[in-house]
Amino acid sequence: MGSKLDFTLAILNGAIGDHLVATKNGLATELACMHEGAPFPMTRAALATALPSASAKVVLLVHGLMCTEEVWKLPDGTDYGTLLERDLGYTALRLRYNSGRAIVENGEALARLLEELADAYPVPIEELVLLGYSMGGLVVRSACHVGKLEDHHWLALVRRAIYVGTPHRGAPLERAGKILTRVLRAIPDPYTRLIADIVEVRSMGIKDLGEGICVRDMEHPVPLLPEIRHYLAAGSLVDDPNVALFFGDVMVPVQSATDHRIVDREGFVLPPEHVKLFPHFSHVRLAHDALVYDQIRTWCE
Amino acid sequence: MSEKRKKMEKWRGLVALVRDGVEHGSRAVERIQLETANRPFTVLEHIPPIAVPAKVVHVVFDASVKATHAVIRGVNAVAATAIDVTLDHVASDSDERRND
Repeated sequence: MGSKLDFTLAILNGAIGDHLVATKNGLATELACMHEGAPFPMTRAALATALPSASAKVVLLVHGLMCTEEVWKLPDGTDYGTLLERDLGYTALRLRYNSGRAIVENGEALARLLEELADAYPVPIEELVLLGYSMGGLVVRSACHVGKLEDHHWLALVRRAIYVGTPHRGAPLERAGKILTRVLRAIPDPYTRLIADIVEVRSMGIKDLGEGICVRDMEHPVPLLPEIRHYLAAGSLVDDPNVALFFGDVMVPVQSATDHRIVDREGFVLPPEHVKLFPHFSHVRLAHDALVYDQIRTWCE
Repeated sequence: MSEKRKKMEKWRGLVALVRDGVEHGSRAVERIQLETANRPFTVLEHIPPIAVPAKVVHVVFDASVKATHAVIRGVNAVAATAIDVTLDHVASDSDERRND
């Protein structure tokens, strides 16, 4: 029941989460790390209780639009976090956030949360891995920039950032939504304008996905921070590489998920082994599949 | 914040969401009804023999649509406030029982 309610709230937050925040609605999800289905505060006591055998290596899983941390669950009940705990000795934390807020706002909140985590974590953190799925990857990217701009301590602990099905260069479906709204508005008919109004209700988070916007006051694409090793996983429903480039896993084209491979304007290029394409993978499958986990584990070794 | 209080906040949130939905929905439907009716009325108001009665009917129609939606929004606001008050009452009752 709790899980179903959480799932419903995740969809609601993804759809109109910015409105819920603006109206101080109690249904708005607050950004927090989750333990056994409940958020826990970033205090020493709460962390010590939630993580009795905390390791110095931490991996943070950040879900995507309209999801909760349940999206990571594999059929056997494990997730990439528990598997990394088992195989490589990480301590896994799972973030839950309101995916309808602007990506920038979630990035800022995540950066602040990570600063609190670095201070309150039971043992000194030696390594922090950020693992973002879909929109979660953009939130991670945004948080890293905020961390850099505000000189946060946690940023020095981040060794790797792994982006799974993240629309770094935007999602065409959202761009199509924008065009549809414009066309409907241009038609001088009250009914089509009503449909345009309904389509326009979608949250800032969804609108940000159109261009992959993740940093305030900076033109996107912003550079990936060179002090972190970045890894990109993309899905594709087809074999043909040219078709995959544009359609990818239907939600995110391969060229967007791989950030065109050339990831910033200063010529910082990712090594080929940092980019992995998974043929015949849907967008959702990327979040909970043994093959994707094998790749993540290889990247984390 | 206690679990019970969080649950109560969610109920209040749901009430507020339904209230907002009815409020916005009513305004949107009102706008459509006024705009849709405006077209034939504008044509009729250009036909000299029926221009004056058409104008009168137009005004009456607009007023009745606006009044209907105002009533809907008013009842909606009252119902939402009543539910909020009930939730407050339930919350304070359960707090008292816990203190006893």
